[in-house]
Amino acid sequence: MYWVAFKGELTRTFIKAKRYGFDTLSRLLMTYFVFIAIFYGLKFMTGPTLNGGKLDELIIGYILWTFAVSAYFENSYDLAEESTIGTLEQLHLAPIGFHTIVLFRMISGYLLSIIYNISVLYLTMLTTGRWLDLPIFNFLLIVTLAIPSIYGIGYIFGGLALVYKKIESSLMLIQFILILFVSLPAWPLQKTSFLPFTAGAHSINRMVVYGESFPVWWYFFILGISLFYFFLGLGIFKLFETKARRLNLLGQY
Amino acid sequence: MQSHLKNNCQVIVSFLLSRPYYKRPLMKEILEVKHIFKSYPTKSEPFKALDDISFSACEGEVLGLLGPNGSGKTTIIKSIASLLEYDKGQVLINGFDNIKDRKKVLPFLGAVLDGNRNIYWRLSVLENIHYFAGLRGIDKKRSKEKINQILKDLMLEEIKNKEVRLLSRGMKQKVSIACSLVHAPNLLLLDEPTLGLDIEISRGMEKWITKYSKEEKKCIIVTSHDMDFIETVCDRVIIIQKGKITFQGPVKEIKKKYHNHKRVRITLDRQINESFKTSLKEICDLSFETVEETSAFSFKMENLNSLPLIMDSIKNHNIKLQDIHTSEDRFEDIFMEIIKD
Repeated sequence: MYWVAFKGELTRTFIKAKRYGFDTLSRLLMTYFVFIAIFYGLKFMTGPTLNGGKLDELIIGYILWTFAVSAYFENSYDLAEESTIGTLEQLHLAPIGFHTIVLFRMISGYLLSIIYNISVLYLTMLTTGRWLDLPIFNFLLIVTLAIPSIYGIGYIFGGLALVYKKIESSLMLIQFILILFVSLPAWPLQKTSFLPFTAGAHSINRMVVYGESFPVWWYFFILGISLFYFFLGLGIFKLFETKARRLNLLGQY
Repeated sequence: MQSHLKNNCQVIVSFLLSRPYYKRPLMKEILEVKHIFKSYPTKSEPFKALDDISFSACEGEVLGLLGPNGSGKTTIIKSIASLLEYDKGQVLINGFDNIKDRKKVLPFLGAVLDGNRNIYWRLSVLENIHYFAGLRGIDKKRSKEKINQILKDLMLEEIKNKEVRLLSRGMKQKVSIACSLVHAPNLLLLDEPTLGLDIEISRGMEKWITKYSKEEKKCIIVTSHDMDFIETVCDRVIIIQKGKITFQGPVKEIKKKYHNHKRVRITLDRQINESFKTSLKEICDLSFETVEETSAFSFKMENLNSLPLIMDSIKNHNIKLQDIHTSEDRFEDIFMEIIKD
């Protein structure tokens, strides 16, 4: 039952990306051009000093940020949109449970975002002429461990969308806060390591740019923090969902 | 032995008598709504959306929920679908509590709540059906035959590969219904299924609802403002006003209870003057509904016994009768009368 539902969700995600072809392409191009703007802007301000490790950090930081933003929007924006187009009530009638559908949607969205973001990564490396020695397996492993924390934040804003409907302004604000989460240091263990996505993002940065490796417990730490924020977000989402159900807001636009 | 037999007979008879005749005793009860209450907080006192609602519905039955806007019809539908949390009471579907045993209830339930908005407009008809089937664990290969049958029944075969956004409102409505049928629910909730539909599609919908409920023995709860539609498809109706049930029974029962008028429309060869009107009123207590310039007038009568007297009066005034037409009250008129009270 769950596998059939997951296949259905995956198909829907990819069909949607294909049908909204212009939007999909715009999203890729926008991500790319923002990067180019940042890169050449910085190069113009700092002169020839922006090279080597710093440039690599910038590329990786930017890609991680796009991963975080797409994960965050995948959840919160999707839920906000569904609560306004009227399909949300139908999803609540599925016996596999609404939260399972949302989970499948996240995984499908994540698989799609891997394609998006890895494409942008290679495009940016091509543009900047700086080729990273990217251990793709480890890179994706750490992103996968850390990304549920962003889904947790997405859940919170998805829940807000159920109750308050129009929350676009706050959705936009969060994507700037995500820059902070991606750029703060986290290794070795310190206060900022406990922020969502920060431990994962910083580890990837150090692994790709400086070739550092980490003990096994650190991977478990990344996963632990990530799941903490995921379940916190899910819990808050459930509270909003209960409120929406009590006040008959699930199907109101 | 004899007294034992007598006792058994008494039990059976009392059971049958305890059930109103419109509840078919041998039909399985699918839905039971028991004393549900729902209120919303407002700045002053809480607004009572549902006030002690109780009813039941059986397999093969189409039950209509009627009432003016804001009376609580959709709130009842959403409470049954557990999309809305009611304050008190209980809803049983196939014997399961729709809140406590929600997972057990959902496979039996299908709902179309906001017709054309319940589906993904960027997906095709078939993609939508496959998606919603998938959410219920139904593989598209396994359900191919079933889906083809649904497409055929709802006359969607020719447009199955079209994106939903390109379809008319009526067609979108049908696609929503198709999506809610893939798992063959025992209980189907349709909130305003004919809203915004043209007559042809609406009549098609009537035929389909009747066929689906009778042939497949499904229970359908439907809300609509289209009284002709309700009269045609429903076995029984419930009238709701301000969150309370004011009537429940078969359409025939409503007509029998509230319909006590004949409508008479008379057309004469000249304009009606006051003295003629007064003379008619002396014959019987007529309540004139309309007096038109064309000398036609209509009125309601409890029975047609006084009609010969009216004919005589027309003759005595040397007026020629051009046309006379009598009709029963329409269901819509009766409904308007009930909610006016």
